[in-house]
Amino acid sequence: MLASNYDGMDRSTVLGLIAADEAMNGSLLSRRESRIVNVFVGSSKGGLNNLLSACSTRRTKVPPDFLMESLHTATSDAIARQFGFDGLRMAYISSCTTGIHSIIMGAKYIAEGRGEIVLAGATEASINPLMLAGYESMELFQKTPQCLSVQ
Amino acid sequence: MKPFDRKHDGFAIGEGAGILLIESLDSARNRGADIYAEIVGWSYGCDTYALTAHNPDGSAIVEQIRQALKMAKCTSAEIDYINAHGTATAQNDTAEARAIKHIFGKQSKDLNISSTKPVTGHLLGAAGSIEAIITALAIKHSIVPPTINFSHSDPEFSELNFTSKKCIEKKVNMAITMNFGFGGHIGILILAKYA
Repeated sequence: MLASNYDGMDRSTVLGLIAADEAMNGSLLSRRESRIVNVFVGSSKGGLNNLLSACSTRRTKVPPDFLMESLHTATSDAIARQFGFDGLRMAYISSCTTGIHSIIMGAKYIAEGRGEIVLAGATEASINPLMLAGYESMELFQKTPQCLSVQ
Repeated sequence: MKPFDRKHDGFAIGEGAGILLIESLDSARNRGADIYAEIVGWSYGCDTYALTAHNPDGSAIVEQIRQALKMAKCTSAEIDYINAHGTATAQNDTAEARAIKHIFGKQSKDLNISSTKPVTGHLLGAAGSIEAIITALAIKHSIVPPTINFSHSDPEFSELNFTSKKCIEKKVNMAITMNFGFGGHIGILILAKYA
């Protein structure tokens, strides 16, 4: 996918599209099978960066796709558009269990016989000054800087 | 980040996305898909102990693990690996380790437990999805990923096997991945080797 195709998208959506692309490449689904794919991809903060950047510019006018690209549903919508999926799209939100709940809900959907295939997971892009300040004030960040290599 | 270490002092956040393709067994078999793991059980629920902490006795987590084991029709002794939430905060690690100790106490030497967050950072909303992928890969490749920064065990949990520093090769037939969220959310997922 060309970088220009990401214009207007929040970083969380871009990350989600890249992960969906990897999942689809790994799955070797045929185009015919792909039509029935359901997408359950959530995000705990949604398009927060898009919202913050719009606020900081004090714009009175925003692009027409601004709202849709800033919602929590933006990533599952973008994935469906990218791959032409006609299945159900959901964006479950439950703070740090968003990802595991999306997978559980996907598995449940299949177990109930309502669908055959679900792309399930979550995306997150919330490293920005506002969110960092929020976590910092909750005193949840590690206090000692640390960098160790993976062995 | 030093999850489950006596000197744990909080997390570092990360960004990213984790997405799995899950499908019915019939669909996977019919198209000859390469099956990484089978989803055999899950449970989800909440407690309302505090805004940013679960009950430190781990009781709400214990209940959800029990429900997931029941759905998977397996005993705690059959679990080979737990990919823990392990955020390296006192609130999380204490409640989580107590819950694991409560359920798996007797088998805990053979049960490998790790938090992969020191490698990935805490991906917050996306943490559960990348950790489910890591758990599926542990099953697929028979490798238990380590808790890289773990070095000082907590006397309360000295019998728990927090696989540290290096990954180990081990056949993983059944594994649990679990996550907890601010507000009291709990999610438990059990994956098994597809045979």
